[in-house]
Amino acid sequence: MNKLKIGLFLLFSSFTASFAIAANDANQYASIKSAIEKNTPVYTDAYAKNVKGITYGLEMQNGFIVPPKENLGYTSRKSFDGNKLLGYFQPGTDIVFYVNGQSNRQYPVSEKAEHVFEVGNATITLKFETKDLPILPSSNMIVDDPSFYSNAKVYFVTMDMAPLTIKVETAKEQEQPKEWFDPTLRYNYVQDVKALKNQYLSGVNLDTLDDKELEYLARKMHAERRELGIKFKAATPDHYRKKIYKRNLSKYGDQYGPTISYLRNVQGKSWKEIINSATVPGGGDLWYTGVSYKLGEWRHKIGSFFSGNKKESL
Amino acid sequence: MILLQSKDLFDDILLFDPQTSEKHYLKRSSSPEFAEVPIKGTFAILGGHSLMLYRLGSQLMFSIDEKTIPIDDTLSSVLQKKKKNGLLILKNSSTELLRFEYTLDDLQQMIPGDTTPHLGEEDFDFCTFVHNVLNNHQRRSFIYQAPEA
Repeated sequence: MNKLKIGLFLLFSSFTASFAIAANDANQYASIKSAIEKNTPVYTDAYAKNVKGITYGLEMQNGFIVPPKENLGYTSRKSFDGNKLLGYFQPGTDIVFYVNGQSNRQYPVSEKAEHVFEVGNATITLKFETKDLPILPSSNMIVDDPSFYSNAKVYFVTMDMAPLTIKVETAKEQEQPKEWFDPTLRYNYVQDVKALKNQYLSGVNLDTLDDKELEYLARKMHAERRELGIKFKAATPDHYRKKIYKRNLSKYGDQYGPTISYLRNVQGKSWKEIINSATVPGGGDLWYTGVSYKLGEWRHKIGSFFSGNKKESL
Repeated sequence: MILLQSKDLFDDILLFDPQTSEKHYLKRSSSPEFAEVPIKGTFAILGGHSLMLYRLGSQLMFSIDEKTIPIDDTLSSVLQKKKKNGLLILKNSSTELLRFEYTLDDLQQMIPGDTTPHLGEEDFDFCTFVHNVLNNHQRRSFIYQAPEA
């Protein structure tokens, strides 16, 4: 453990090596701003000449300054004005600006500044107004995350005290045709989840099972419930399903949702909680899936009624 | 240093030094050296505030920005929600320790027809997750203890 701590210390000590980005002048700022607004490539050689003391890597990509792809984390996304660290962004669900010496304090761009940030369809609009942020007038910020915004351009934003609006549009995702939930599929899916519950939990009192038995049951039901999700994937319209898989992959590291390891180690769920949550169909709390289920139920009842009559007539 | 997992993005991890409050945000995919390090907490950024639920030794802790609250048996939580707006209150028997108002963004929402198993409200709202953990004694004592699965 001590070795690990020492290793971590050394690792992060090396991160503290700095690079410097000198403040750019007003003309350069204006040209970059104008170019970005026109969505044209920005030629930043002049800017690049001002980059000093690169120790662990900046590279030029499409005319923008970005950290190397193999960067070791957000800590490398720092900008300096002279020797003073101004801050860096943490890309993610929100954009946050950090200030040197105040690593605990995160200044939300979205709240303290006028800010719009959209990822859907890869349209990204950023509006910064810096008057509430404790930074110098000529500061530099790097906003990038090629891995997360895979179809967005990497872009670089220079801030000034004046409000700055930058709009970067990238290729929009192709509009998906809208589909309705297939009522029969939705109904069958819910019925299968109910059947799973009956198969494993009918007449079982979970309180009487020991930990090993609960674990066995939880793993079994987790696996089967996951199979149901895959089997009935067509119960969810294609355009929603793509979103779900994408969300799951980025949120849980697995397109089919949280793994046992995630449920246990990240969410702290007990075996019993995993067993119980495996019996929930999900998605039914939204009115259209509820309506879809009801339609499926009626269709099923009508079908049963006629097939029952047929049997009688035979 | 302890390792925390983002509740929003699987690839995001955080190395946190509870002594100095220093934080290093990392990408899991770029940090294979941490693959086997057990998770000792989770974090999220909500409305620009940094929220963490983590374990130090046997002690469960909650922190928001610079404020850290040890979670002991006297601590309880109240959560009020109305659509995307929420209010989390943490208090011990006599004192209100935290009152945190927040708004969930549009990205943090259930997708229609989602058949993903084991999803609940707490998957999309860190405060609901914290509230659920604090109100479940078994989960409270279990979470971030198990180097398994």
